[in-house]
Amino acid sequence: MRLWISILSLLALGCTAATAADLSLHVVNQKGVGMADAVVTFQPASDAAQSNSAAAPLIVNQTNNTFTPYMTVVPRGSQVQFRNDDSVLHHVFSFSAAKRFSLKLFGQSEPQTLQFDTAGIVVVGCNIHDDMIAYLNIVDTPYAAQTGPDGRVTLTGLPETPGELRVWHPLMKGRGNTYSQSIDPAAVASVVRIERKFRRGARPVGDY
Amino acid sequence: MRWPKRIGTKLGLVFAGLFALTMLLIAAALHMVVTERATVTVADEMTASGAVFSRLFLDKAADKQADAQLLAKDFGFRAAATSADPPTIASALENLAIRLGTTSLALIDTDGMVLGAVGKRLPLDKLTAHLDLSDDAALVDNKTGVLFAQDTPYLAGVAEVRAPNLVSWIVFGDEITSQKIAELNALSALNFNARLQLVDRNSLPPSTARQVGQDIVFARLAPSLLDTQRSQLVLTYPIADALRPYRSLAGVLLIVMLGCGAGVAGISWVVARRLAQPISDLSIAATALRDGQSAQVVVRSQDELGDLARAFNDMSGEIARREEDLRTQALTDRETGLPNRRAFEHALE
Repeated sequence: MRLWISILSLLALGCTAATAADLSLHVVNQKGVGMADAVVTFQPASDAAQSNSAAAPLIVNQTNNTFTPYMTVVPRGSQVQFRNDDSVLHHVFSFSAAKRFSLKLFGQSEPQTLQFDTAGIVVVGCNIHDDMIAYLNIVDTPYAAQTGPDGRVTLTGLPETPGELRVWHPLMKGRGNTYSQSIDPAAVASVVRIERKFRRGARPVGDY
Repeated sequence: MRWPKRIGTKLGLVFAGLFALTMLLIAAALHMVVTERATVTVADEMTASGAVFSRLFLDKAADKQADAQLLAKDFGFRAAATSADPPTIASALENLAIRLGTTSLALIDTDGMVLGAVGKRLPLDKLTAHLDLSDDAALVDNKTGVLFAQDTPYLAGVAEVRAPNLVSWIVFGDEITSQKIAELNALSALNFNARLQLVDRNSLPPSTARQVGQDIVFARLAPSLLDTQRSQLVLTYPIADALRPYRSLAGVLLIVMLGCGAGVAGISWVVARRLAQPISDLSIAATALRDGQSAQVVVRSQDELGDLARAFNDMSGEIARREEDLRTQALTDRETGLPNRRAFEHALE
């Protein structure tokens, strides 16, 4: 149940009567191509809104030697369960500062659940399968979502106060792979186009 | 030196001189050809050796890069490399240096920060620019090559540390000592003087071997780790050494030339003497004839000189006969055929 994740919405484009509290974004690369799996967050300047941790653990599967999903937005304090659907064992680990862990060789019957209490990026890998990679973006705000395959996303229910919009993508050029700008959702009427430079690099196949 | 009087000596000298001149010209031509040939031989060997050296360098660097890449995947190393604890990182790097068998190692994160470095200092600032650290590992053109720190060449390479995303770069470097170059050099047929040097980026790419002063010099671009550095392998070989194999040939040639020269001088002296002898004989006979003596020369040949000798003999005989006639007429009374008064007076004297 990831209701807080906005569903990709092309409707937002034509929706001239969008409420001021909705913010539609289109994240594109230097060639104008929409970038999937960018995580956008909005942090109101005045309101230190805290994220609501997910009630049930979020699921990251290991299927056919691939993490599914590739990108997960995790409200801070939520639990993530790593489930192995493969017949082989996996050794899931992370060396990221936000959460270092090592779940040594576990199989189908041994789902591993971890809690993520620090905001930041957690890159998850498997020690015996170098190509396996998944990203967890631990966010500290309830206003977070990730772009769909066409690079579009709508943040809904935003407070009508100015704040900071952050866009993060693992391939985005720049420090921390992050772009941020000040924005007032109430003053934005149309889709905000965010064009950044991205480096080459494809997601591992079979993520969707 | 006075020009000799005798025609035989003259001819001998002229022929010997001509012969010596011809031999000198031949020797000069031979020297040119031999030098050219020796230079080409050395140049060919240099081109081949240069290619072999570069290949060996590349292979060695590639092997080490593969090792480094493999070691970078070690779970423990990755745990240490991402530990954000400098002493742990330095310690892990020291261990990696031993595993890899390399003298210099450094770890640079994707923000360009040097997380740790052991061994001799590599030009890390230049490497940071090369790696374009905000970028993907696949975009780094050269993962191995020659790297210059000041004037010291290193055989260097980079390997990415993935955890599992790209988090940092291992940079390794092995000093290319003159001893290592000498070891490589031992593989080539000729003992070149080989060295690696940093050259101006805008300099023209080196061409084939050429002669510089007393040496044959060949330069070849060495695979460089950084695009901003241009290094070349320079091989030099003294021309004198290149000509050494031909030295025995030169000795044999000199002996043959001296022998032939002496032979020619001797033969031409003999020929000239044979030519000059009849003339000399004629000269003596003519002097005798002038003094009123009868003079005859020996006819030695059937050629022009023989004809001349025969004609001289005829002339000499004819002159003697006419003189006899005149004497007879002067001392004889024409009417009676008896000696006249002049003959009587002559007898009294």
